[in-house]
Amino acid sequence: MGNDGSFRESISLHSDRDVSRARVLVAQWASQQGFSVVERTRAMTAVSEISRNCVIHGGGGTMYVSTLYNNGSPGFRIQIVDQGPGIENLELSMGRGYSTRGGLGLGLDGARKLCRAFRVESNAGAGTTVTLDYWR
Amino acid sequence: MNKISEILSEDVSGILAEWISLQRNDEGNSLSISEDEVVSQSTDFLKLFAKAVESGKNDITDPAWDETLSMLREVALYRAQRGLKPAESAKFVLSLKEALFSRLLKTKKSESLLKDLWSVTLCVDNLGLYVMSIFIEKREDIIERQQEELLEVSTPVVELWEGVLALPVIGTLDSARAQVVMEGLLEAIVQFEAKIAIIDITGVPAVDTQTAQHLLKTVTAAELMGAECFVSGVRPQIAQTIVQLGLDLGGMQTKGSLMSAFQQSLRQLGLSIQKISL
Amino acid sequence: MQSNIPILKLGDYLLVTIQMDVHDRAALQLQDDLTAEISKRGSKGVLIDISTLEVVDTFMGRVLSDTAAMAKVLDAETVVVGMRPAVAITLVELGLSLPGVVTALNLERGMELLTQRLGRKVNG
Repeated sequence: MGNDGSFRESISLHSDRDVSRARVLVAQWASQQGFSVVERTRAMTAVSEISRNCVIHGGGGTMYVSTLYNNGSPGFRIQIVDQGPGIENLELSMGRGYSTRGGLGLGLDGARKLCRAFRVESNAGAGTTVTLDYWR
Repeated sequence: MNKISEILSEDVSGILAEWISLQRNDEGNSLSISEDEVVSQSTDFLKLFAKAVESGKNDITDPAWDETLSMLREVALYRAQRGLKPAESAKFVLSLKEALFSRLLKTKKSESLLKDLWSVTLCVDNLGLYVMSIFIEKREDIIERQQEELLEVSTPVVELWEGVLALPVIGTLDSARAQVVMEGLLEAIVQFEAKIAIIDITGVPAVDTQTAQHLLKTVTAAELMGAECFVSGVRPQIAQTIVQLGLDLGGMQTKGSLMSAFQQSLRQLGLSIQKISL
Repeated sequence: MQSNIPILKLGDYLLVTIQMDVHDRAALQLQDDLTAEISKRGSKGVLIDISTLEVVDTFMGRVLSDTAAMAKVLDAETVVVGMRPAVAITLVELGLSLPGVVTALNLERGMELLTQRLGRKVNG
């Protein structure tokens, strides 16, 4: 518990089993905060996409979940951080149907549609941080 | 403001009586709050008002006015909730001006009359504006809540036949509404083990790109769950706009009326309607 | 043959139930196991039950599409049953429509559908 009453959890992402664990952790957060089943499913699906990207393309990393308030509405922030090669062409990879390896190429762009606020920070060679915000 | 403080301390009960009668005077008594409530609200307010004026601060954002404002807030909220007109709530404060003016004019030392009148005007007007802002805030709250309630009640799913559901959509299908409609329909498909779902848009005034997308999403989701979907109630004008806007309805099955969608559903289930001889 | 996801024989059909928190490798393993089983038994129909699955993302979507396509090549029809409403909504929002995948509300409906489709095939 932080000074401001915030709470933070993290999980390391290095295998496909970790991707499953990440989904379960986010499901717990969403349920505890009283999110609807549909909202919980959106969050779990988005996290599944991004954490898989992190394991496959980013060489593994960490997921952080922390409390968030948006205009008084409770929620949580998910940050998935890796130290991998970064995304060279962010605009291209956000486009529909783009895929570097496997998948249907909708991962990053799909996750963006499944959250309230979405941010990607990435520089070639300097890793990637994807931030997903959810609030009720 | 010193002068006002003076006249208030000289004859509070006189001012109170005059103020209350002023509140009552105009346009009869359309107030949906009782006379007793008016009297008690006015008495309490004047007490706090006199105290604030006594502090010598003209600016109502000064802490000296805090108590007065919080009382005023309660009055405004109460009146908004009781469905009073905005003007009726504003008059509560604004009519105090007249009561104070008449006293000011009666005082003998009138060298600074204009200045005193002006400071009363400024102060009371600001209080009036404050009442209005609280009043509007409360009304907006009420409107928002009603919208939410409307959203919930306005999407009933009905079972037309065993395995056949109908969802009549009435009004504009915006994003928030579309979400509720979609969730409601899918839950009902599970609950009724429906094979066919009919979304009837007879009550939708217009179909634009967004509405078409919402409909398409709902149909696609229902089909993913294994139900077949019809969109019925497509009026000629809507058919025209769909084509003119170049909207892509994908593989959506559209029907002119709920009746023809229902007939088609029965056929699909291997059922038919027969006339019986009486 | 070691499989993470059990494949059951249900009459003439094969039944696969995907568990709640399946991980990626187990899902891919299913493709190997299922195609081997279809080929061994000459099955004509496959039911994939996803009713406990809380997430179908692009990866799982692709596994389902591919599995159905592979089964098709081996002359078997696949029906995916039991998709949850929240999953269907999320898939649509993701822009995934599972091309080539036939769906049914539950297991019973899935079997009806398979029988119907296969019957049609036999009778021409």
